[in-house]
Amino acid sequence: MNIVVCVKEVPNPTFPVEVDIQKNAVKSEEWNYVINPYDEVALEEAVRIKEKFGGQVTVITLGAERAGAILRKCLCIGADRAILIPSDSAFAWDGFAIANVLSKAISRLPHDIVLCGYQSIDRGGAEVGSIIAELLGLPVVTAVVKLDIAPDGKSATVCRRLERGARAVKRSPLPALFTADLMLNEPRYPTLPCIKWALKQEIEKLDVKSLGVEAGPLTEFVTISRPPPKKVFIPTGALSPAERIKLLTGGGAAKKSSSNIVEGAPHEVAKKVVDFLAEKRFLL
Amino acid sequence: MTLGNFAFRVAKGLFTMEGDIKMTGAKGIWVFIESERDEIRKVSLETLCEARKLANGLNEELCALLLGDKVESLAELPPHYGADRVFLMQHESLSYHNVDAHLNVVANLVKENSPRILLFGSTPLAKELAPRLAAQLRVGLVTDAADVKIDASGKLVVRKPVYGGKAHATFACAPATPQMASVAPGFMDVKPPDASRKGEVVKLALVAGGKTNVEFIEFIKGDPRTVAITEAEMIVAVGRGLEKKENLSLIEELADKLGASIGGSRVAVDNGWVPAERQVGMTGKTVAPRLYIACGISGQYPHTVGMERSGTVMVINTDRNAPMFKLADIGVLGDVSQVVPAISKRLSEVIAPPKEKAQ
Repeated sequence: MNIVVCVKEVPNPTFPVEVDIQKNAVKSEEWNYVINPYDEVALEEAVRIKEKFGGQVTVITLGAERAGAILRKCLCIGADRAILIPSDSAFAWDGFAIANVLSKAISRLPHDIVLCGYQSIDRGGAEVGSIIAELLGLPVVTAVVKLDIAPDGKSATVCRRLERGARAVKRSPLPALFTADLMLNEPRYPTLPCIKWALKQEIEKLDVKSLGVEAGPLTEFVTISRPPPKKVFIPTGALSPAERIKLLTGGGAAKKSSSNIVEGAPHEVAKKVVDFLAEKRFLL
Repeated sequence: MTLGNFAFRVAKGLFTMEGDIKMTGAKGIWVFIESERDEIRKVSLETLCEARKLANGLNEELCALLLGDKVESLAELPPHYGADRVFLMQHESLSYHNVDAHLNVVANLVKENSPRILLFGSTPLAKELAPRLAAQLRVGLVTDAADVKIDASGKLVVRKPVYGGKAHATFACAPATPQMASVAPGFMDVKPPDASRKGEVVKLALVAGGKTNVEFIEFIKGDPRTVAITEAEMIVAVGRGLEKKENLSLIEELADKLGASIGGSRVAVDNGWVPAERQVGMTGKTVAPRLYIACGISGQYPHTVGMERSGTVMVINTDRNAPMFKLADIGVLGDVSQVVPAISKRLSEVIAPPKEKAQ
């Protein structure tokens, strides 16, 4: 079972994000970088599949030269081979451009399964995995929380995370691409022998030009700004001071009419309440 | 993926207008509408209302794309929220989990009609569908938008949260059409529907089924007891008015009957009635369930800020002057320990067989 895992380096999420309005960029001088947590989960899953079925795990990343550091960590966790596609401008590319380069690189590697993280925690597009699959013509399921490979290795049964705790169980033939949700597994800590082994490994480099990529980004970055302030209730000057204080202390929650108040014996109240819930279609 | 597996014809039905659905050039704004439990999803309505503004600015047509298994009864609704035309396609293969079928249908429709802009609400279906469609059509896509605009040159300009919401970045789509974006839930307002507004409903027939790569096996309902409070569909929240921990069993009974999750105010968490990750409010989580039942919560600002986006709010409180009542769609004046068991009892009478046990 040959598995390709796409990883990305992301700024450590514990660092503050400050926007430099003059430079139209975030202040990144003090950041350090980690593996995108979703990608780390994808890698862990790949290593577990390898341990069960044999084969090779290849990690691949597109990014700055320093991204070699996170590839080294991937080797510690259990990847067999690490490929860096160096690019100084990749951080400005959109999901399509990144997926396009990665798909070209993946098509040169043997792959029964391609695993990606569901989304990156910096840009959060949640699109690269699906686009790679489309470009490679692979079946795809995103946000996978459970991944079972059939014993014959020809298909996989996966659980996809939906909203409100719901799951969809799907079956896909292999080769296929899956994107990993954080709930898929708990990534391991590398062991000392693994770390020592990983330090001796070579990180392969692949030139973007050699991949014959013809299409560029389809969206362009315009600006970055601080998030807009949350809508805070401000009483208008038209109200009397007493009313304004009342609204402020009441949380400014004067949005709905409070005429629909029922009182009385509990069983009568309960009847009205349940009728109300039924009418609003909550009792299905 | 082969295209052209599908052939379309405009069926002449009750809704159908004599239709040449072909538009010249890339014109018009399309919104992909999703439904749930025979209702249009809120995020689809939010997208539709926002798209109406864009359509007004461009002076172009706004079309709603309504695909699905049983959606015909909803076709009248998008015009109430601003759509000029509804493309309706009803087919059993277009079930919610069949992304491949949706992809084939939408790709073909877009190629035939070349809309200028295509918007999605950001849902599990759209999260798979939109990127694949954009890749197939080689057009720009920005996911999880907080704001969409059209700039002077006609480009779709989209603002979205990045770095976990610590900043917002703006991206512009390339001129290739349709320019695509998916809209994150909760950023845009839904205007009240105008029931007098009518639109043209174009019924499309799916003639041949497409190839499906991924087979859907089953749907597993979420367990409200374990689901994260931010994802809960219904929440029963408790506050100081619960009085003692023993009363929590009453709340649990009600929550189980409704299929709701349990949340709490800061007081409930401090008293150890509710785990900290289920706290609603300024120091807890911000929630927006369909139904929020506040039991014995007075409704001070630090709490209401975390739940004011909820759909229907029910308030149970002994104090008539509690600010929580101002947010209530229905208020009950009474003691939690008496009212809640009565409601649970009444619910078990109404719902004859106990609610299907969630897995």
